[in-house]
Amino acid sequence: MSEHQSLLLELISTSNVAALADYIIQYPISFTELEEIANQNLPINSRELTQFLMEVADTILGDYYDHLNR
Amino acid sequence: MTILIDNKPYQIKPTDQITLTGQEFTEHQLQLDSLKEAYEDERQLNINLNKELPNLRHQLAKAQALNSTLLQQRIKQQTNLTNCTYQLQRTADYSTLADDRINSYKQQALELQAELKQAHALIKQLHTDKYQKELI
Repeated sequence: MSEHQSLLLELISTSNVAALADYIIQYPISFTELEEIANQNLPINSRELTQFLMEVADTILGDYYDHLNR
Repeated sequence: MTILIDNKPYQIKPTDQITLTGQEFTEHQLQLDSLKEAYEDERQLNINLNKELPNLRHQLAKAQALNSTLLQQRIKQQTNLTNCTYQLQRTADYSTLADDRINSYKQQALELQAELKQAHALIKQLHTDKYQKELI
């Protein structure tokens, strides 16, 4: 597993939505990388993982608009 | 024009007859000089701001372009992550379906194995019966 994936795994494992969103904006993730991470021993099941990732995806743009409206 | 008399503003009318003492005249002259100075400062500031305006406009355009780039980048990453997540969800669903199917096959295999065992037992019994009949 690459350093990039290890960092992603850590952010996913700690359910850190904001930090993962910030990281992914700069360093995109590919499906292969994500699939490998999903096959690791995660503290959440696949349904929780997809819900978490969708929350991160919402934050990527939501956070931007929040910043503009500030 | 408004002047201060005893520190109170007073609007001078064209018909007013005003007699000023030397000291009052000096005070009004100083007030006028101060106003002229403030006006000059204001005018200079305006000139400077006008000079700065094209630069500020340029900076604003740059900031807007950067903002647009950042927005495009975020939209791209959001779309990418959403697609990856959907794909992952589908994979997980397929994996669950495959597990269900494997379990179903295992169950069928166990049932067939039991049937086969019964058939073996039956054949063995038939052989035994046939042997005994031949002996008789």
